[in-house]
Amino acid sequence: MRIDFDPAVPIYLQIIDEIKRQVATGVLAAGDKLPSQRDLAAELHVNANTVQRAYREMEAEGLVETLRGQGTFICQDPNVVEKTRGEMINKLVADFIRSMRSLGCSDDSILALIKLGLGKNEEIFEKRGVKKND
Amino acid sequence: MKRFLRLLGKDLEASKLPILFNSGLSIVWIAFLRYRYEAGWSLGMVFILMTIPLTFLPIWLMWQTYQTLRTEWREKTTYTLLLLPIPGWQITLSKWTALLIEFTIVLAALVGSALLFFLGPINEYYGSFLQAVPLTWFLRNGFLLYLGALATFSSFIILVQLAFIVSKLVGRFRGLAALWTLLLATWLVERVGIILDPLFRWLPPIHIEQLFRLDVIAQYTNYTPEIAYHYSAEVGSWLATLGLFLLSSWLLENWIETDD
Amino acid sequence: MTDQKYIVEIAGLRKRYPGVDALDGIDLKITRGEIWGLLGPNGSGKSTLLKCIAGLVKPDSGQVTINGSKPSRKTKSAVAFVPEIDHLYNWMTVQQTLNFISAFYDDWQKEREQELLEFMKLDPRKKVSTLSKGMRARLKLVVGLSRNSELVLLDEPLSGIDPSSRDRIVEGIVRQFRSEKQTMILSTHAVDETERLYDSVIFLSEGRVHISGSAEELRIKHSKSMNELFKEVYA
Repeated sequence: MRIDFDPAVPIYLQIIDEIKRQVATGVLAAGDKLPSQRDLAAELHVNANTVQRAYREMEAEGLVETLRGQGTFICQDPNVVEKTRGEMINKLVADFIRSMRSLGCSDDSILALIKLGLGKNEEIFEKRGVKKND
Repeated sequence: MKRFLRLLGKDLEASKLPILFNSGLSIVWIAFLRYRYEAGWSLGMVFILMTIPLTFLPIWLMWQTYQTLRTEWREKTTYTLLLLPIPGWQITLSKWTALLIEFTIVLAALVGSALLFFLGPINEYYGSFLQAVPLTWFLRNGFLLYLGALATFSSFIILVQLAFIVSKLVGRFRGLAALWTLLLATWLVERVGIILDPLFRWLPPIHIEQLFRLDVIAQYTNYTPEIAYHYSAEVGSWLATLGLFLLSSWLLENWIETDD
Repeated sequence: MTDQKYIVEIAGLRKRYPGVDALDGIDLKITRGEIWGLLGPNGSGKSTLLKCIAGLVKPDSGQVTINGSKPSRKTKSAVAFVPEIDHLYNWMTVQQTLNFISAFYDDWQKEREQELLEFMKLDPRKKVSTLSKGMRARLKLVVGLSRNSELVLLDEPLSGIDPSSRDRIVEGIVRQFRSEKQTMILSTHAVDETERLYDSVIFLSEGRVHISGSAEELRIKHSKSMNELFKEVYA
C-alpha cells in the first residue's frame, strides 16, 4: 500500500480513506485480509499506534473485523462493501457541492458546469482513443 | 564478574599500543646496554643505566592513569561508559587493574630482557655467589619487591584518578583543580595516617630480615641486619586511600556529567 | 505511587550552563507506549532534556522520574539512550562493539541484533573508525534498539546523515518499536521526515515547553502539519 500523505490531515484518517478507497474500487474484496498493523506501519513509515487507531475506528464502523490470532479482515457482509462505496460517493459529491458553493456558484450553475465538464471529459477520452465505459 | 572482565578486557585492549611500545623500548634499551658493555663500558655503570627505565615506570604509570581517563572524555566514550548500568567502582577498579597489569608486563619485559642479555656477564662475575644462594631466594625476594611496588603504585593510581574526576566536576580551571586535588589528597592520606597511627600501634612489626631471609646471604657479609618495620601509620593511609577510591567511584557514578 | 499511565514525569526542571538557561522550568508527562517527538531548533534544550532523563546530566532544580524513580543505575537498565555524538569505541569492530555493550544488559536480544545488523547493511567485521557518518548512525541505532528497553531516547538520529541512511533509520525505528512495552522519545529539528512517526509532540523553545500534545489532535485543531506548525512556532 502506498499513500501520499497530506501531513496536515490526521494520518489515521488518511489510512482509513485509502482502505475505503481500495474497498470501493474492488482492490480489496469482502473477506480479504489486511496487512498486520506492524507490517503496514513499516510499509507506510508511520507509528504502529496510528495504524492501530485506524483499524480500531474501522472496526467500530463495521468495515473490518479482527479475529483473534488471525488478523484483521474486510467484513464478509457484501452490503458493507456496497455501503462503503456509497459513502465515498456521497462524501465526494457533498465535498464538491460545498466547495462550489463556497466559490459562490448557484445550484443551477453547478449542474450546468457538471454537464459541461462531463462533455469535456468525453472529448478528452475520444482524443486519447479511450472508450468510455459508463 | 563477567561485566567486570569485559571492562578490563576493553581497558587492556585500549592500552595495547603503549604497552607494546614501552615493553619494546625497554628491550631495545637493554640490548643497547649489552652492546655498549661489549664495547667496553663497565658492568657497574651498565647496571646503573639499566635502572633508568625503572625510574621512568612510575611516572609513565601516573601519566597513563590520567591518559586512559582523558581518552574516554576526548573520544566521547564516556557516554557509553556512564550509560552502563554498573556501579562506578567497577569502572575505576577496572582501569586500576589494567594499569597494574600494564606495569607488570613492562616490568617483566625489562627484567626478562636484562636476565636474557646479561646472563653471560652475570655468570662470569657472580657465578660462585649465585651457586651458593638458592634460586628460590631470588624469586621470593623479587616477588616481594614487586608486591611492594604494586602497593605503592596502586595508591598513586587512585590519587590520580580522583584528581581527574574532580577536575571534571568543575567548569573551568580543570588542570589547576586536578593539581590541587592531587596535592590535597596526598596531604590528606599522610595526615590520616598520622592521626590514626595510635590506633594501630598494637600491630606487631614486620621483621624485614626474616621476610627477605637475609640470613641466607649473611654468610658472605658476616652480618645480619635487624630491621623491624612498624607500619601503624601506613594502615591509616591505606584506609584513607581506600576511602578516596570509593569517593572517586561515587563521584563518577553520581555526579559526573558528559559534556560535548 | 507511580502513575501507570506515564513512564516519565518531569516537574520544574531547570538546568543552567554558563551564560544560558538550557532548561528553564520544564513540566512534562510522557505517556507509556507512545512515540514522542521532541521538536525544536538547535540550542532549544532538547539534548539537555534527554540527557537529564538518561542520567548523564544532573538538573539544578526540579526532578525527573522514570517509573517513579530518579535517574540512577537502576533506571539505566530500563533506558536506552542514543546520543547525537559518536560515543562508540573507534578501535572496536562493529561486532566487538555489540559484544562489549550487550554484556551489560540482561534484556539484550541477540536475534534482534543480528536482524538489525542485516537490515542496516552493516558489516560486523568493519572497524567503527572506518564507518561513514551514516553507517555509524545506523550502528548507534542497532545498539539502542537491540534491547527490550522500556524507554528509548534518540537524540537527533537523522542529523547530518545521507538520505538513504535516513530512510533506513526511520524504517528501523518503525519496525522495532513495540508499543505494548516500549516508549520512545525522539529529538529532532528535521520534522518533515519524522512527522509520521509521532503519537505526541513537544515543541521546545529556549528551554521551555511551547506546545505539547497528541500529533493527530494538533493536526485537527490547527489543520496544519507538524512541520508547518514547527515553522510557525519558530519563525
